[in-house]
Amino acid sequence: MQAYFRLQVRLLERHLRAWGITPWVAVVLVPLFFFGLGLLLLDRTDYAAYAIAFFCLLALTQLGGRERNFFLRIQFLRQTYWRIRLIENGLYLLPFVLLLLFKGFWALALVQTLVGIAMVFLTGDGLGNWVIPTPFSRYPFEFAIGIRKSWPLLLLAAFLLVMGVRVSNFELSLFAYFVVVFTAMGYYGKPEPGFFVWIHHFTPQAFLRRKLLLAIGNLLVLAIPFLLILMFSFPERYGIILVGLFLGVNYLILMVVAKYTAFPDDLAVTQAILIALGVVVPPVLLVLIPHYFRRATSRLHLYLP
Amino acid sequence: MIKLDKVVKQFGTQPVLRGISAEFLPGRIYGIIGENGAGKTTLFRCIADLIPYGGNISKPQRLGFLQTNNYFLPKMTGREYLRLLCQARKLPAENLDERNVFDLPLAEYAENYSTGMKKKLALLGVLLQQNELLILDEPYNGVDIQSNMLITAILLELKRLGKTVLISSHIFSTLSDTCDEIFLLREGNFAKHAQPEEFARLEREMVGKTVGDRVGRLSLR
Repeated sequence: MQAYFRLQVRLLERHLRAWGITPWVAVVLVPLFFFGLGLLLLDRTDYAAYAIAFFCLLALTQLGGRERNFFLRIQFLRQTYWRIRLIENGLYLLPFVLLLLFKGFWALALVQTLVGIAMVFLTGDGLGNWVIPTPFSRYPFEFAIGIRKSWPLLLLAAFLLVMGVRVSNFELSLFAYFVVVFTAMGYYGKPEPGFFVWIHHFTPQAFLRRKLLLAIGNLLVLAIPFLLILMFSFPERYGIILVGLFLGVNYLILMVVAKYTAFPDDLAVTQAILIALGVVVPPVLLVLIPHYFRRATSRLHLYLP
Repeated sequence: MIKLDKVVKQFGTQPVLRGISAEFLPGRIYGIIGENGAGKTTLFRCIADLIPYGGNISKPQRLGFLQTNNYFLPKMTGREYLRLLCQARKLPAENLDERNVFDLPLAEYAENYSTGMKKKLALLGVLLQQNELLILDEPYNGVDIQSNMLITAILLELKRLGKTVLISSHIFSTLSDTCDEIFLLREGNFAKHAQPEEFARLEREMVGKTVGDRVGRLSLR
């Protein structure tokens, strides 16, 4: 088990170096950035605590991947496997729980810890070969695949919406809508194999436009029930809800075009930072989206002459 | 000894294994054949305890499982992979270069290996672990002919060492060269069970059933 964690540290160092970051810089800056941003958000609104808990649990789902868990279960004895899963989840949870505890969110920290520990049992073998039906199967492929992977998050969003409406908490209800938006953005986080672009008989512009139209249409299908409930429950806040809809669509557009600026490679750290900047400071989107659209177009010329 | 007792598995409402019972003895190689989707991989995953199932399976606690598609941690070299697999079983990871019988580039990232090289690396890892039971799902798949010959020789050596080997393959000749018994998995059960003297007949039966008039139905002429 120790060998496994030592290897993980070495692999993490390699990832950092591949991104052009010296490991010791990351060791110093990442905690500072994490706690600095976390405290800043929590000072601005209490609802940031829900967002922090949500993103922590979202990150934890990555450890429950089927292939990864099959590998660990094959190689390690049963007891060691569970110990590894528990330690990994614990290490992920720790900074988030400390942050919440520091700001006095005792109950949320406890719930997050319990849910995080329960997620040790997420090992990717629950649904087996069952094909989860989605309304997006006719138009491949990001939403159809994404929903099948992220349905627990969408359920969580629906739960948060119901809770928000029940206690007449507009911010929590609106946050539930943004959980859907961020989840959909995640569907475009990884590039598909080049073959899936090469097979199209489109110009790069037409390919991107089609991708964007499908993405927006699919997002609306997912988000409209949330927005309608918001409108119905908080009619006096319709202005904010419409702004939320506008922002959500633009966040997704940004994510789609950003993916193809790096295609077929993964998004670089600088791009991820710029996307985060666009989310936090929406006016930046006015510059970022057209710029990324142009860059994505020229990148796609490699596959779509 | 590995004993399967009425092993059942279903995905949703679709049954895949319908009460499989069998015994696998040490020092013998068992081939499992069947069409795509017959349930070979599901059966192997049940034996390896990777997925929940009904019925009983008694087996040694330490088994090696070569999957059809093997998982490699990102940015892990071939050597680190082998070392991790040895250390996971508390075995010394020594002389890896000497034991690298497939001449793999161990200093390179495993994720960048070709399909065949990944298969060989995973197989080498399973072999270094000194497991009593080895489950090899398509070990010949994507591997060059020289390595095929080497794998066959390794399997025969494992048999001499008294290991139990379960192996699946879509190339009948690779199984008939090595196996002591072959099981045909069909519709969730072992439909046939053949000893070496019956292998040729089993292959003829399979060709007859599988090919039949299907080529003609393609209307290629």
